Amino acid sequence: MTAPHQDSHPDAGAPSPGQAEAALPPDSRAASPPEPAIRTERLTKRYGRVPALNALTLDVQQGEIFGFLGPNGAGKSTTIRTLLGFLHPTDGRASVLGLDVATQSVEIRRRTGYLPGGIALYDSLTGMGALDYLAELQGRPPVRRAELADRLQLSATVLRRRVRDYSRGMRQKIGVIQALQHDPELAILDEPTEGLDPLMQQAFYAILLDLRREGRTVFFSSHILSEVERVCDRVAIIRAGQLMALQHIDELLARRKRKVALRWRGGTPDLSAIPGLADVTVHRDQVRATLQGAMAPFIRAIASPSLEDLTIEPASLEEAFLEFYADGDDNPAEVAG
Amino acid sequence: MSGLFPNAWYIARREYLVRVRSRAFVIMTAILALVGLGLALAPVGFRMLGADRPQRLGVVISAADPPPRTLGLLGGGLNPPSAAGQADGGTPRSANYELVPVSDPIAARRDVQDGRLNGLLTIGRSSSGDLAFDYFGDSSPTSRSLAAVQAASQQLAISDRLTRAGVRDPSAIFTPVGFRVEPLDPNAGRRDTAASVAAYLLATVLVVLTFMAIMTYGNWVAGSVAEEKSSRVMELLITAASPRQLLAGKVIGTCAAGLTQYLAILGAALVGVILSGPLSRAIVGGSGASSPFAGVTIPVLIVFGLFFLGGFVLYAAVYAALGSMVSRQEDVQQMVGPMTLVGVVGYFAAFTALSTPDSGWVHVLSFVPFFAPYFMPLRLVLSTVTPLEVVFSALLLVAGIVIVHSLAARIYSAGVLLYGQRPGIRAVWRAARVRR
Repeated sequence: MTAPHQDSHPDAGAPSPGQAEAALPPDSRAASPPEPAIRTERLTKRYGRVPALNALTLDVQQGEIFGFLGPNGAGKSTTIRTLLGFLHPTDGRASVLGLDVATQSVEIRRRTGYLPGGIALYDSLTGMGALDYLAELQGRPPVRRAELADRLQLSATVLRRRVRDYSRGMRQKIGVIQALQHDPELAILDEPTEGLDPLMQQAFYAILLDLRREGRTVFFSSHILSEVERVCDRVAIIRAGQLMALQHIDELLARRKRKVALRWRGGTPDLSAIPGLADVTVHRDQVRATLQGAMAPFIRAIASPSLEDLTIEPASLEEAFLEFYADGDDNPAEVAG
Repeated sequence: MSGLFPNAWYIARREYLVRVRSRAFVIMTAILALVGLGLALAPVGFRMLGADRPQRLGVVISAADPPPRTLGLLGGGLNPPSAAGQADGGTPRSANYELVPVSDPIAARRDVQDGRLNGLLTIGRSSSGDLAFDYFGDSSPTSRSLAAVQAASQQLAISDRLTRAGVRDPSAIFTPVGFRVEPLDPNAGRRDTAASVAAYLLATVLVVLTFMAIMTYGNWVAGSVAEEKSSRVMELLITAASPRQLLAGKVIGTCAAGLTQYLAILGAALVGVILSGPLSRAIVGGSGASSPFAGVTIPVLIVFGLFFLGGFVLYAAVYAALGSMVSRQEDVQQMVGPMTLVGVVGYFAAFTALSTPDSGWVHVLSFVPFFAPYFMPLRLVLSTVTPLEVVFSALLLVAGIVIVHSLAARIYSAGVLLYGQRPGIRAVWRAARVRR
């Protein structure tokens, strides 16, 4: 559904973004392959000696929903802040909407909707006052505000109250609305579902899907894999500042391992033919194993009247990460420089 | 690229409204307005409390042959007819000293101790035949009355010597002589002593007002920038508005709030000044004290207004830049320290300049943007300034504001975004070099 990914080699002979901008009028660019909404090239950020981001290279295509995953402290917020020009890359480069993050950040911020992680608002304003104020500064009418407030169930009564009295979830909703109310072409959201209850998370993902339908690009970070798989086209997983994986969500799901536990009446059948099943341990009538890949062949193989109990644990991000950690060393593209 | 307005205006409006509606602002303004009113009414109060009452001086004449009209001569010396007052036909001064002939020195000493008399002067003769004086009373070295009594006694003794030398009517010697001053600048001719005192007071008030505004409201700017940064509201603001817009809006909004407070205080003081005339006539009789507002003319108001605003905007930009460099509000004071020093230096220099408004260094400093807000109004009030000089200094000030604002905007845009980094000069310098 989106442009092919993972081609980290720039097209041979293609001019660099800077040259393209200088040489071509804006509309002639539409003829060439569309510019990625976000592009980072060996982006590196160190705080003194401490590396926060190590040679991160990724592209986010226009019109896709891109999930940026990693445990806390992996460098997600550092990346996002660098993209918005809040931090300066120590090395490497990055562009957003074709604009350089080091020199054109004012323009980047003007064209991007941004939700900071752990959002803070003026306590003395009402929710509506905060949204109005930010809309004024954004300089574009808040065309989506009413719809967003409605979908996130933020009533007019709540919006009339002061932010001081808001719960964490209400503040987060205000944050999501302000990032999207002026219908930006690109939204960069840092942990957008933080503080939202599951129902509101659903509403939020539905909003993202609608945005994609309208051709908007969304780049958001999260540390919960199960969230991301519902909406993302592609995900990047980073850990300790290193890119561990950059994949279509289907591939990621295929690689993911789940723990399964089975109990049989009578003897244990032969499980060795099931694709993706590994680490099998048998303890009397109990079988424990890990399952990677498609679910259907596994279910088909174990379906028998003697199956007494079946537990399939949801795949946690931690396990997916463990997987990638193990792979990390033999992935030459990601070896630290 | 996005211009300064209308975003700076939106930011200024929020800043102003939040500031003016805050309880701290309302309470502080009310208190300061009361203080302003009180200060303006203070002269009337002093008169009511008797600070302006004549000093009562007991006089014991122990000399066997006192000079004729001793008390009259002494009184003439203590309460001289003012030469200036005579020259411009001004108000006759009321007597400052009242002489009380005393027959019982012991009782008189007790009266001094009890405060019924302010002092006791004993007039005798030394062995050489000259008059000799003993004074009992307040003897602090800065006492004005002691100096006056001493001078009058001296006069009396000289008059006595002249009498003994055969001079007739020696008191005529002490009649004030005519002394006319023609100033270099013909416009300054209207100034007499009283007007000079008023001008001095006015200049002092202007310097203090400027200093207080720069310090107080500059700190407001720095504090509120630091607060937005440490609470991380800045992350949202900086996404929606550019650093230059944020800086300009913050300075304009705070400036407007500061001016509001100032006008409230000055309004209250003005009411006090207007009231003090009728009040003092009603309560103690006689005219009011010389008011510093006597020298306020339209040009002075305009020049002071311009330089006050200019100075404020200049300093506020620096304060905003400094405020943006700290991560925690507790560090604000430390960071603005050097700038506070500049303001204080200007303030004390201006106080020195009050007594030498014509000297060269005052001339020079009145063109330096960071000091002009103190020195130009001061020179206008106390000395002579050509309109060309005022315009030139104002242009330099505007140029200074433009330069300082663009520098401050760079530091600010670097500073507000450097979260979690030590706000070292180097980090800010590195970030400020890059255009945003």
